[in-house]
Amino acid sequence: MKDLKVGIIDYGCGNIKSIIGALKHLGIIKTVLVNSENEIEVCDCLILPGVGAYGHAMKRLNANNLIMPIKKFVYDGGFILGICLGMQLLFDRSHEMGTFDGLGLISGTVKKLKKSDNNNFKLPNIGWYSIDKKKNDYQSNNFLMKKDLINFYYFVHSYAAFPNEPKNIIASSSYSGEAFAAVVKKNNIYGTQFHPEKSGQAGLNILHNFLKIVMKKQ
Amino acid sequence: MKNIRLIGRLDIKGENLIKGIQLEGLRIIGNPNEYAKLYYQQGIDELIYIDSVASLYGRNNLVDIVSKTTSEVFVPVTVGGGIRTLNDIDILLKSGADKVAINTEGVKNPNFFREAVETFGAQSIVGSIVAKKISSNNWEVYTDGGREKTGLNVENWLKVLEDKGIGELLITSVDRDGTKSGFDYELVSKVSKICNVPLIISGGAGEKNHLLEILKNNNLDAIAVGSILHFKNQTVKSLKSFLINNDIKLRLVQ
Repeated sequence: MKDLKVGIIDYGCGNIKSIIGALKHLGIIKTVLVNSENEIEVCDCLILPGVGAYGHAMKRLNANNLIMPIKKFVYDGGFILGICLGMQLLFDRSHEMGTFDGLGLISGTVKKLKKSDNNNFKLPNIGWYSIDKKKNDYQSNNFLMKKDLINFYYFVHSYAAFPNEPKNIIASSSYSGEAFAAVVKKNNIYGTQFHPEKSGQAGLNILHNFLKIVMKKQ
Repeated sequence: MKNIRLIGRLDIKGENLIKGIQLEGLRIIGNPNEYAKLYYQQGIDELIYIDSVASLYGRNNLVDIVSKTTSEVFVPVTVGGGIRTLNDIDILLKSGADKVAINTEGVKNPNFFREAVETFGAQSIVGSIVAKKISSNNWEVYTDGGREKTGLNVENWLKVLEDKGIGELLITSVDRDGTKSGFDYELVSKVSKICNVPLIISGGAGEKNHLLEILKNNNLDAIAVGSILHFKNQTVKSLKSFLINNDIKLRLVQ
């Protein structure tokens, strides 16, 4: 696994250092910071981080001329893992402060979470929650193992993805009584709404699962 | 059901983890990275570093500590103390911090909160209020690590911070900080009723029952503790187990 070249999309919208730290902890030596098309070509897989606003993030990807190269990488069978906003960017569009197109790699929309009337559930949703695996996870490729389901993961978000195809939801979580997609997968495309790099050993396990999947396909 | 976060608060002076009483008389506890790592291994949900003399000297010294911590501690880290510019925030976030807590500079220039939110996103900006009781039912905002009064009323100021778009609020009671005598019950009750963003309370936790009592009776999102862990009265595990056994929802670490 140490020879795996993991590309982290570096477009000014993510906590890159934490992801590099987590990968290093898992034994990945060759982290590639991806600022342009050229770097994508050498990567065995991509991680798309992201914090902040959806429209701004897409603008940054576009400004770095990364949208088409990312899509091409994925269409050619390359593995990608989107984290938090990075996962939301995989979808068709978001309604965060306007309507913005995403990468369109998974069919679905990003919408605002509900607050509760009694102010018990505030936004952003910040906290550690467990996830529920869906029954129709027929091809999850061991991205989520049974042991991963007893754990808690760190979420921080006000918006969440709602895939059009239920089969793309590998696990869900809920906030203020509303279920949303916590883990998504479509073929070689993976995403987590929570931050695996900030979710303790449980999160590191999920990152490790992803890297093992990439390894197997090498 | 909402899960409460248990946060380890590490006050720093120079290279040392310290703890004062009412934010003064700072006593050296040890190496902050070692404590951070210990609390992480015990299952802490988050860490807050506060450079306790940064405002006084006008700089934040935490970059190296944060950088080291976040290469081996994989939970969210917030950093506060002496943050004056967008560049200060940028440097800390690039060192591995997830959020910054802003107090003094925000009092001098309230629009700094909005600029910070617009640049880094609300999820990265914690509004920090240091509160001191000045009369019955009335708390004043303090800055510079609890040394300077501002004349601002805590409740009014909280609404200003919310209006500026902060993602979270950290409220520290100067009166209770380091005393281990329990939270400022009235302050917490008052603030939690009007706060519309996730609320972290800090200052006074000395026994496990202090946490249980405040959580049972208020709508809180997170509790930050220092002394109770630093002086080994409790471990993260023992605190969490106690609270969970008393029907408080928290993250369990396997």
